Amino acid sequence: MSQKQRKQSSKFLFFGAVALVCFWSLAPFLWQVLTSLKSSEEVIASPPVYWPSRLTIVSYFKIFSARPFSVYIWNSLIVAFGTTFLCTGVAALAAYAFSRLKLPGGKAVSNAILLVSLFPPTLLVVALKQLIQTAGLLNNPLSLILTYAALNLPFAIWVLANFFKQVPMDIEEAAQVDGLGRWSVLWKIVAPLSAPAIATTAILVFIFSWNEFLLALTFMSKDAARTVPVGIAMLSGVTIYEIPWDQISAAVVITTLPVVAMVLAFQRRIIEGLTAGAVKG
Amino acid sequence: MAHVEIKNINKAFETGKSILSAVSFTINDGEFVSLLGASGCGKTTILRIIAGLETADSGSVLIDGQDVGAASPKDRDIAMVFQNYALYPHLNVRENISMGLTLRKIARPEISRRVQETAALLGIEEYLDRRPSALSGGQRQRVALARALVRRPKVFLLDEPLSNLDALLRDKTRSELKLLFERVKGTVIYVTHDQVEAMTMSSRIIVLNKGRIEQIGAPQEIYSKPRTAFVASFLGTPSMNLFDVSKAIQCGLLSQTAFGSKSALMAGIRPEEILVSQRRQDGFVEVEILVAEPTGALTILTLKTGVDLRAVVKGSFNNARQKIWISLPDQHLHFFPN
Repeated sequence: MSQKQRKQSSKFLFFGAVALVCFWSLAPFLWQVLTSLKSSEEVIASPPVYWPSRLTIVSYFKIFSARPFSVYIWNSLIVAFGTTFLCTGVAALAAYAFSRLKLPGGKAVSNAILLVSLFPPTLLVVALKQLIQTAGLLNNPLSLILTYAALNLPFAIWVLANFFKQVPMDIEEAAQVDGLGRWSVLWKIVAPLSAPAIATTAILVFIFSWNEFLLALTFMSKDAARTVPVGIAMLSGVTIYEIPWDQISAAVVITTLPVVAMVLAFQRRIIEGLTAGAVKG
Repeated sequence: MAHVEIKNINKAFETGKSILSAVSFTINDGEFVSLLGASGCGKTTILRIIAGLETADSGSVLIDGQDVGAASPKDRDIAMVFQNYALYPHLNVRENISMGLTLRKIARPEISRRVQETAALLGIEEYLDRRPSALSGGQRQRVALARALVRRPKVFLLDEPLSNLDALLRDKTRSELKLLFERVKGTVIYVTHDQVEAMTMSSRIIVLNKGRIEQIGAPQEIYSKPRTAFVASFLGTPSMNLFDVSKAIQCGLLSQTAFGSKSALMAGIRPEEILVSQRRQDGFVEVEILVAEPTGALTILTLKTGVDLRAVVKGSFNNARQKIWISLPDQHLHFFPN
């Protein structure tokens, strides 16, 4: 085999492997897309129909007309964006304090925060529900925003603090001499330089809030207050024996879109190497 | 422009190790003063205390007679040039330079006029819209200078601004800097470990050693009248010869009758002040040459005597016999407590 042929065949093998992995990971989603486009009869047909004989988008209309799906989406958007802003904002402040200010016991506190994140949320459900009830926040999106933000803070602080530490101290001092106060140094210098880390944190927090099920189910008992994951789980047919798979699939496809859009929107930001050229070198 | 006064500054690490002790000096309006010392001598710490980036344990900093101890860096009306330039990587050159002015609420047309003017002064007009990452080391250094100059502060603080440039560019920039600050009549405090920079640029030099001031004076004064052995050895290349008077008397370099009373002291003489002769002469001592190092214009001779001695002669030096006669002229000898 010549050098060139070997190179080509290794390239072929590489892309073959990549294609295989992509198919492997995307297969369940493809199945959802196909199911959402099938008619109700073909969805439950046995043996299963892989490729629908007739593509229909009627299930997409059904979830918006027969179900309050737009309400679920609205609730989810409020919760997810609220959580993302609250969590990233608070985490940025805390991370800056941990990475730059010499706080008495700062190290202990930052370790304690990480320790707290080791508790599985399942353990906290009952206690949290009581807290939320006492606060009178049941069926209020604020209950989810506060809880999600709290659950994601340890992770967010940890990521951001490690990134902030890499911003050269000189740049911050130059900014102080130029006339920026602590707040402005954080928002005008440190945050823009850490944009990739902030974007990554925000995306992960957003995805968590968008997908979370257990707490959303527990805190939101009213149908009108439900978020998308709970809404989808609660979709049922005319009788309890009938599961409307076509509508569920349509709902899943629609709710996956914001996450994909979000990742695509921030992707450029993540890749952009902003810190290049900060100092000599 | 301003007058800076440092009064009895002390600072120690948290471990108790002293960084600065009893540092006091005054810098007059429009002066270019260098803080010269080896790394770790506390020179950068002094600069940072003047800037307000660090606080002294005791003592005070006065700018134009006002104690600025409690003022934050932005209220001291100082500008600093950092060793690593510390440009804002996410902003272009124009925004980097104008940051300090924008924050001081100066009118937009005034800002753009001053940025343009400063950029022209430093020859960086064509880079105004670039990010720092697209600039070379020398260009970044100019941007850092422009950022300080454009503010027209009372005091310029420069922390080894040339140390990241390569040798050729450093020499060129050195004379440019001197001219530049003469032209803007700036009060400059310049931190460096490079004696050549300190000698060539400053109106006065403050020599520091282990957190203490060894000597303050004009470059020529510090060179010709070093007050301590440290100052003597720190300035000049090759450095001053230092030896015990008693040993020099023993090996006949100094006469017992003239210097016997100083035998407990340490003596110093600059290599270029040693008289060198190819022939035997009155009052000269015969010595062997260990190494001759030609540097082009000069040749450095390491001599074999009872004490470590180096001499400098002009031009190339050819001596097949490896022997010369030297004399240490009295008027060029310095004496320091041992």
